[in-house]
Amino acid sequence: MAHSFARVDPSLCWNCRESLSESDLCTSCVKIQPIGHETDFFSILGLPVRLTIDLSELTERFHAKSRLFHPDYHRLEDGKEQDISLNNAALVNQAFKTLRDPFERALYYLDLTGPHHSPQGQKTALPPDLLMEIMELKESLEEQAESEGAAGAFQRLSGKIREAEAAVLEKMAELDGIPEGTDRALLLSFRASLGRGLEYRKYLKSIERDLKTRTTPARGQTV
Amino acid sequence: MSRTVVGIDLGTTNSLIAVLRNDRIEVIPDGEGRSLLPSVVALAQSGVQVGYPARARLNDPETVVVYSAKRLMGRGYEDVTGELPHLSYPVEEIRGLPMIPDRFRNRHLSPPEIGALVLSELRKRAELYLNEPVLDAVVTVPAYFNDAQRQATKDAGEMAGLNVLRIVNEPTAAALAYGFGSGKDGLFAVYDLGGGTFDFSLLDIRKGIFEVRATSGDTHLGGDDFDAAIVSSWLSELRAGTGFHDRPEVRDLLRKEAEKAKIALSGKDSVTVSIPALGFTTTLTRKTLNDLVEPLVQRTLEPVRKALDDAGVETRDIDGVIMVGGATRLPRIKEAVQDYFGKTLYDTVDPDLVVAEGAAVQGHILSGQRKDLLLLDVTPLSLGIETMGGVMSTLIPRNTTIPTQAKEMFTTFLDGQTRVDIHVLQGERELSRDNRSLARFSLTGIDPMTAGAARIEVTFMIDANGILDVRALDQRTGKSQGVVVHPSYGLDREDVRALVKDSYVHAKEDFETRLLIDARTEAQTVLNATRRALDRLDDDIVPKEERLLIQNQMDRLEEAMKGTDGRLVRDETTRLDKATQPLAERLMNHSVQEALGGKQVDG
Ligand SMILES: Nc1ncnc2c1ncn2[C@@H]1O[C@H](COP(=O)(O)OP(=O)(O)O)[C@@H](O)[C@H]1O
Ligand SMILES: [Mg+2]
Repeated sequence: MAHSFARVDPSLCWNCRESLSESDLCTSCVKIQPIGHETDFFSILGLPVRLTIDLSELTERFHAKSRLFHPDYHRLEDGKEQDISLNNAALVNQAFKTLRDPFERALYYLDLTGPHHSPQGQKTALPPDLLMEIMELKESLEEQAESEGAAGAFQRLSGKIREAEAAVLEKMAELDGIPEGTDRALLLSFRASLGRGLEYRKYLKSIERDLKTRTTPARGQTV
Repeated sequence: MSRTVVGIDLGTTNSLIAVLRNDRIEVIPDGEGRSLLPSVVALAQSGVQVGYPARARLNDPETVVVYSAKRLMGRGYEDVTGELPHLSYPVEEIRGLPMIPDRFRNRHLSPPEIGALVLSELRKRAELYLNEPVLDAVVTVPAYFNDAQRQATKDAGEMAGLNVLRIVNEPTAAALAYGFGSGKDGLFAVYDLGGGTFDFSLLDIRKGIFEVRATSGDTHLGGDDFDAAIVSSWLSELRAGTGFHDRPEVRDLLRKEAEKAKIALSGKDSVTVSIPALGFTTTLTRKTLNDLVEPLVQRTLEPVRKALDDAGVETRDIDGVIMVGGATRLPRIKEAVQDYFGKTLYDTVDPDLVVAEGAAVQGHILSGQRKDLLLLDVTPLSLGIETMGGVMSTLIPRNTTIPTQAKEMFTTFLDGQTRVDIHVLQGERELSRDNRSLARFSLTGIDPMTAGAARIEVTFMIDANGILDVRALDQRTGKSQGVVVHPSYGLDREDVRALVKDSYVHAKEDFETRLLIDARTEAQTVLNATRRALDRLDDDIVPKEERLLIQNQMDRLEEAMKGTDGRLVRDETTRLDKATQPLAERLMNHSVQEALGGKQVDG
């Protein structure tokens, strides 16, 4: 089993050594080509690196790449090709999963285009007053769930989450709209604002999760 | 010419094999035109039998009859202790695995080996029918089979001499059989209630792509539980103090009658059941049956909610529900599903055949003859590793589209440490011990250096079959790092290789020769069993004419065995089986009566 695809020259086909006119498939020997380790999720699906994506276009791209790479279509080929197919299909699936969800996509985008690109992601800190507000919201929701039942608390929280998500989506569109060559400080402040919005939403979602586990009796394990 | 890739539904209760040829799906019948093969293996002094003849010996005290082996597949002994009271054959623990002792041949058979016997029977059936060797197959499994169970199924195929090209989820196969994907698009639910398992899946079907959005289920919920509910209500009707309750033969008899009654009630409102051997007569109405099974019906809706929740959809988003599995024939099930979803039910394809048919379609895709359809499956359970304090850290959440991978960096804790152990788990719970242990991996041969200096990148790859592969790369040298795997359940790769090597079902000789050898072996088994039965039984049980008839058929079979026509030998064997069928049934009743008469039967 080949474990890495460190190729001498990624512009040549791994099989016939012809130069590649497209990155996925060699036009002369019709072999699929390995996706490089450094390729980002947007490029894997052939999309520009942007925060807003048309979901139906994304799905179409995903399907097209799956039809090219999925192991089911390479099952009767030799080991090397099966290996490429497996790796590529795994990357395509990961890319689609990340980009499909706008909030995961935004996190990934910030990380990818950020100044200190790191696989661990960046830590965004919320200002103390906002953290305070979140704590208070949590307590009041728990009280509400206790006194008048969970339904009302969930409803109030869902409203908050919807607001937060709408704000994040708006910021994503804004950031995409900033023209090239805009002042760097301004760009960074937009990015920071988006990062905070995402972090805020994450807190609300974790309150929702906590509330759910507290109010629903443990269901039987169905495994 | 392209390769033939058959589709196999290896069921808990019944198995089937199908193929797609000339644009038609054919479920391949046996010599007598039967599509199903009971997933049953009989071990006796005289030999090993598979399918109907094996099932007919269920109450023969001199035979060990192995059924429901799928429940033991790829699981540890500890995991299956709950199953054992339901099984009437012995299961022993060997190296942590459940193994079935074959006292006649002084060996133990693993669940995959039992599976292999069933698979090779299906394979032989297909080879006869297609008149060519069958090597490549797609095998279906319940959607939430974990890695070890999928691997065990693959092992079974390998031991049967089959190249298992793809493991497909049963519900996904069902949707393929309905021909979705070429025309009708939408979000479909698949509700699969079989004999002992319940599977629920949500499938997004768009322009030929089948995307599993979520799957859930219950491994202990099915038609058998309906039968059990009926049996326990009958047992409470039966006089107390008869000792009936503890007798496996009685339970067995009641269970068979319960199943018959249940099936009859799919077509009418009331049945009368009479079991003379027990002096028991009762009436079962559809209303009573519905009340008995209602808690079970409701239990199926729990996993349904879970899957909808996971996928973030509601019933109104669903375009239709595909009904799979024999138990969905129950009118109350259809009604409950209809009520819950308020959507079209798809139930026109025979729910017994639909999974095998879909597997055949997938086989056709893999044989490279069809590019317009693609199955994208998801992993049914979260995959993670054990971290400090026995907590599971999730690397790949459940319902992630496969193939997929996760990378994790590992290092050493001690100066000079040359080995790092990784414990891989599957499941949804917080603590490691509440999840399934998949395997322990050791990264070996690490260069001794200061603690924390090593950087080993481990890739956990789940392939399109849902099977895990682990690769490790030393980041400092760029070399791949040694990984030693100790699967927690299931067979070591070495074991499998050894079994494949000496497995008699795996023979690479000429197809015709193998056919002949297999046919002769089978014939000898049946002959021996029949001869022994005839010797043992007197004329009240086997009247003269019947004895003569059987004797004649035995002679014909022996004559055929002298020749080299494997097909003829098989046909004559089947005829002999048929000739002894009424006798086998009478013997079963006889053994029940014997048991009731107080004779101790050692099973
Ligand atoms: N007409 C029917 N009405 C109700 N249940 C039925 C009917 N026909 C078959 N069954 C039940 O279906 C179950 C077997 O389903 P099947 O899909 O073959 O199982 P599996 O997939 O587990 O091998 C058995 O419990 C059987 O009693
Ligand atoms: Mg089934």
